[in-house]
Amino acid sequence: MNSAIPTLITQADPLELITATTAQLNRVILGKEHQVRLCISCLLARGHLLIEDIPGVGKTTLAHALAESLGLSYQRIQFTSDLLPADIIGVSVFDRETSTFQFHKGPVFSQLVLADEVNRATPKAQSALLEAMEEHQVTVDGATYPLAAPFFVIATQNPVYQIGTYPLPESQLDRFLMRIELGYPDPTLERQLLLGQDRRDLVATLAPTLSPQQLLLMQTMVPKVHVSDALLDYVQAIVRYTRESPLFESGISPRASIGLLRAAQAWALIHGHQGVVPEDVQAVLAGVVGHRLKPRDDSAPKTPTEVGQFVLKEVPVP
Amino acid sequence: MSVALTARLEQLTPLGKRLPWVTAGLALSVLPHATHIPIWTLLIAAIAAAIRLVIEVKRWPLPPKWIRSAIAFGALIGVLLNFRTLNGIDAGTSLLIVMAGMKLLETHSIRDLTVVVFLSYFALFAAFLYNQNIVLLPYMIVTAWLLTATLMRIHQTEAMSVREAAGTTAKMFLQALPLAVLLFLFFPRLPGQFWAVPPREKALSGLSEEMTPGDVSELSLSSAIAFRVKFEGDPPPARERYWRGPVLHQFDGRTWRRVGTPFSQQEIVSSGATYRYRISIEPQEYNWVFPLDMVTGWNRDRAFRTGDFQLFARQQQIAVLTSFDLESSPTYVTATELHRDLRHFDTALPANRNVRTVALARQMRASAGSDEAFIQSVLTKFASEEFYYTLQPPALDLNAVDDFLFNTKLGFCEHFASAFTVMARAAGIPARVVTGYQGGEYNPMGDYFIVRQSDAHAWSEVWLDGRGWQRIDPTAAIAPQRIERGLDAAIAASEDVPGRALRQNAALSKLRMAWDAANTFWNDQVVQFGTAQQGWLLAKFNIDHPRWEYLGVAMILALLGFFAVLSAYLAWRFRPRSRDPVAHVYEQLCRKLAKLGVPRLPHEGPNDYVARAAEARPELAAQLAEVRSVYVGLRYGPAPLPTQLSRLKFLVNQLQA
Repeated sequence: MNSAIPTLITQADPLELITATTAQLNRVILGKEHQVRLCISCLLARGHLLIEDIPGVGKTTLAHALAESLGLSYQRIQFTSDLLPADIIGVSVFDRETSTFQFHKGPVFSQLVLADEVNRATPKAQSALLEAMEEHQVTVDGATYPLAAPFFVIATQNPVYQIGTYPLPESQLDRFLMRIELGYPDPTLERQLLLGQDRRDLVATLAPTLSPQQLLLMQTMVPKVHVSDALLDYVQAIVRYTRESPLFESGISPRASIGLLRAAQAWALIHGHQGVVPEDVQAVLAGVVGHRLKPRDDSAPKTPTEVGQFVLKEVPVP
Repeated sequence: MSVALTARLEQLTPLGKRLPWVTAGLALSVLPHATHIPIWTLLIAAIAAAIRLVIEVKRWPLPPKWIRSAIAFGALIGVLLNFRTLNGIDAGTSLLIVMAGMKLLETHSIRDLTVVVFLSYFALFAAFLYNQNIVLLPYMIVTAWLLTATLMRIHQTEAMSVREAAGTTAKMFLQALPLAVLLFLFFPRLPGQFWAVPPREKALSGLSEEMTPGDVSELSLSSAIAFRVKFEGDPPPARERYWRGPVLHQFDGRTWRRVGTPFSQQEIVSSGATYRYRISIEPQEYNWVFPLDMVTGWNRDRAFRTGDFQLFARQQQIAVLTSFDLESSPTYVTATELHRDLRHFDTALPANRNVRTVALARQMRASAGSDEAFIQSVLTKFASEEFYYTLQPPALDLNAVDDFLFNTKLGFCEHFASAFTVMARAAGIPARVVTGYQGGEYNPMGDYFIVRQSDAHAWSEVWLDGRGWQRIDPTAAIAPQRIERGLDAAIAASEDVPGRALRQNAALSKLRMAWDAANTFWNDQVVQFGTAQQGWLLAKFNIDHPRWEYLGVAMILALLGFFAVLSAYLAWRFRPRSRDPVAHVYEQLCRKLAKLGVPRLPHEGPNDYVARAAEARPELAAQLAEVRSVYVGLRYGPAPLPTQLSRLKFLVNQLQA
């Protein structure tokens, strides 16, 4: 780990550190400030992130740049239809010298795991990763191995209409705190992209702006961000709306409502808000609830982003 | 129940689980009608219910629409053929019950179940059209309770236990009770027949328009109640308790008949004590009021007295329990002039009938010398010769009076009255038969008299020149106990009188009296609560003789007021909880900014909103920035200072709207 950055952080520090981190990331991923902030909020709220977009918009680059900026150990797993759970978790190998089985840890034992094209693998492989994500540990041959801390999974997914995919079922989608899209860059930024340095080389030059210890400390600060009664009323109004609205097959789960609050707290933290304000909730709303609400019929908004925007517009701020 | 069936019931759809309850509710509601509607309507409804339940358990499809329509149409035709009409209580009730069964056959949604429950309510309360007996009341309440609980469970999306629904329903009933009582007391009672229960087709036991020997004795076997009487003050003694009914003039040798032709009115002058009382008449075939002989005071709007002194209600039929406030005087003097036609009419006898009696009467009149002496001698003849008073008189031939007087000599009051009247007419004395009731059982629990069909009686009335019409009761001569102590005492112990043993058991008798007192209270205070009682109640509030239209309007206004107050209270009670002062000031701010042309969007958070407002009104940007930070700190920040609230108020007040 790099020792050049401060190891102690005071109350005022997180904001500066995060600002530095986001600034650095924004230099790599052009014009995606909001998504970058969402990504960091998700990480601080101890959630996992699902990026859903077409290939080549910078999903992998974002994950890699994040790992570099935070000084996290990083592994990328390319999900394919022949991927086996052992390829993710690791495998026990017989050691002839000690005459015992030696567990060789898989890529999941990194601090930041990029599960690329998660919907290309079979449900069996998918669930191996998702179980590890949920429990923060892996059990193999009766032995339990804790995963790294911090542990952050960024899964990318091609839109489900592409051929040869196994779309994640709702129960698996619920494990991801947020789902975001990157989208195409706007023309001026794309021009910069075309003129600028190769992104891969750029990522290699990045220096960590935040240590894993600082990251862990900031993760503990998230639930302590003040939440007022008025804000809880608002969050509950949103939750109630999703559960009572006839447009969706079911409302969001308690896990999701906790997630929504944590994400909003993380967002408030990285924006230096003293307490969570409704705008913090609104900022993360589409990312948190969009993929959890399944439209019942054609009258409901269709894509997760539209769903998030729709819910935001429907629930008045108290 | 087999295991398989139980398992099947477990798997029923939500609708299927509710269906048995709805069906049971319908069955309970129809049950009170079982005695008076055609059995086939009940069977059709029951079969429809059974088929529907089987369909649900077996998961068969519902019968196609054309079959259902055909059955329903057939049922309609059936009712029409049965009653020749769809109008009236019986036809209406039958139709309602058949169609409720038909409705079950097409029940496939919650809405249909609701319709069935409402039909059940209708059928249940229709039972009151037949019988307002207090016995029915607990049954009605329990069934209505069950129906309401079922209705509630039908409409719950979450499963609701029967116990919970029953509890909530009970609570609702209790909450609605004060309103129901107030409505009952003050709902305007409309005058006229519009609200009255239409007449019934079915025969009711009671006196009829004619009297043949054997009629009254047969009626006396019935212990059904004819009417109840409550006196103001002391009641008259038993020998004066003659309840006057139809007066019979026409005689064909065997049967006495009423005549429809009106007689000229006659004055009656009371010459002694008068009694004021209320008579509550049970439903009967006619519109006859049975006042204490002789009625001198009555409400002219509700009743009229004929020239032969019978009191009629001014309505087609006393189809439901009806009360009258009357005044009577047992000692009275009628007019002393009898019209020639009437004299002729009331001395007429059929030719060549009862010749022996006529001969005997003429002979006795000749030897007696005066009308009074003649009457006395006839009564003495009844008392001293071998005449017997019995409930089981033998049948008589065509010349009934001859047969009775000279052969059988066993008779009930109608035999004696008939024989006496014939003899009086034969002697040239105008005479007629009066039917009615005599005596009555005193109920000490409620201080009133119960007069039953078994108290039915017949006596004579004769015209004596200079004295007017006089009552002569030959039964009093032969069986004075009948008049003084009632039928039970007058009939020989060896003879069977229905219910006599029951009446002679002190404990049972007491129980019976208590029960009747409760019934009477219910009848008088609840069933009979009408215009008069309401007027009396309103008079207590210093509202005299209100018109029902005004009363109706007042009622509606009062109800509107009540519900307005109730809704206001509920709105206050469940007002939005945002009544904290910070939110209040924020709302003020929003109103001010809206006036400035920047209304808040419902989903807009404070930061976004104020930023937008500042953009629209740059001159306020600085003020708004402070408002925003103070407000957000107060509403969403940790540990806000109380002083900040006054600061916020100040800032918002400063804003120029």
